[in-house]
Amino acid sequence: MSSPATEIQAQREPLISFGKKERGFVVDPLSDNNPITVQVLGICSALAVTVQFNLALTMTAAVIAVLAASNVSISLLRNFIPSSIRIIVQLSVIASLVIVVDQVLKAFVYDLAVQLSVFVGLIITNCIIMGRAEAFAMANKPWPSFLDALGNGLGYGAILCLVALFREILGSGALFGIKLVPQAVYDFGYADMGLMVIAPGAFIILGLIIWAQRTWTGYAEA
Amino acid sequence: MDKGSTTYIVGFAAVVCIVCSLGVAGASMGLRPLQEANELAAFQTSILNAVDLPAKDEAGNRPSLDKKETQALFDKRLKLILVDDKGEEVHADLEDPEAKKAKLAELRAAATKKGEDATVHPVYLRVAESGDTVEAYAIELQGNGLWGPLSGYIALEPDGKTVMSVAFDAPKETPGLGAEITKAPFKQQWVGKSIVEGGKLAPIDVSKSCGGDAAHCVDGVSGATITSRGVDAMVERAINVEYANYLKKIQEG
Repeated sequence: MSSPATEIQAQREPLISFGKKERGFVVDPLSDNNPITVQVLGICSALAVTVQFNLALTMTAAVIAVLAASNVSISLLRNFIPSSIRIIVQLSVIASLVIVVDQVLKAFVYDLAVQLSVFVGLIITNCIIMGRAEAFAMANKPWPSFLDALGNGLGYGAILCLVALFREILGSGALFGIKLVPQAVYDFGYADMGLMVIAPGAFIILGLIIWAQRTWTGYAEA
Repeated sequence: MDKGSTTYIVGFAAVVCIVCSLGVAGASMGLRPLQEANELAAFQTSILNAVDLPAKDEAGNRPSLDKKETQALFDKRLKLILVDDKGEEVHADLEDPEAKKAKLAELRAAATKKGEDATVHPVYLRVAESGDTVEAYAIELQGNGLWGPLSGYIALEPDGKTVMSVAFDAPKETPGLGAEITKAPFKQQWVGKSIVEGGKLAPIDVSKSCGGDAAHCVDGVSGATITSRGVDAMVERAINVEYANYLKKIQEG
């Protein structure tokens, strides 16, 4: 006996499926086609908001929300957008979504919103979002576009969090603002790396991550 | 309809604009009450911290309070008075702090309209748990940075001379440069400085090179010269002009 739930699922199958191709949309950007380490997009925010791990997490959530919403809306509109004004239409949709996300952050996580300051607004200029809208959502259905957004957002977030993990532990001896390095170690002569707190620290960590990843996957610039 | 036609393009652009602006306006208006509550709590916390409340624990960490606790502590320990430029308390008959705030805003708006400087300024008094003993004074600072307004508070010890601590707000300044004035390393420099020299008021300078004048000088922020000058100017105006007579009065006891 088939339950109503499975029937609905069966009906939706063509619209929302999750096969090998769909899995690829999500998994590819995590490593092989990572927006930061392979495409080298979105570097600005990767340097700016990775001093603390919780900032990186909030930024990741904000970017995933904007990316998913923009990809789905652009994909829904793709057959109606006149190609001569497609870029500005994409930009309007993205900018509106970013403002909404900024407002939501200020309403619900005020402290983090204050710390992220202008960088939430600067999600508008994050090349990943515009890039996915133009390169993927304009040519694909909403569901694959959503998965593509999820994959790219997670791929972006994974690198952001990895960089933040190193920077906060090495730069402040803490994680989530909680001290990890015991006072005894400081008394022994250990000092936090000031370099990690400033932007060059992020560049160095990012460079090392890219090096490690490319050595691992054997990827080379074409 | 032809997707390439001018009519279609203009129509489509108009629809996108209207839908986007409705979304943005809706989010902004719908979330406004929550945001205002957050801003109020942040404002109250900054004054409370400036006058060293809530008391630090043994490890030197300040306990974090939620919005309700902040409001309760603020109402209980901070008393708002308005002083004029002769140093006299004015509008003391207004019991409610909200009524005083409204009066202050009204007087300031009237002064701005006439193109004059406001002559009434707020002071937050930290009062003892019981009784009316004043344990600290917080005077308000207002000025301009590079990109927008600066504001803040200087909290003074009961002697009216020694800086207890400071709080700055620089919403438009560049993060990492001008906005560094809101961070601990800059603010920490002010603690314990004196605003009096040889019996006269002497505002604390924000300077590139303090030299030997360490008693009345703090280091500005590198790469944020205009913001540092803005802080210097607003502190000088508050101490030498706006609150000068009021400060003299509390210093004389």
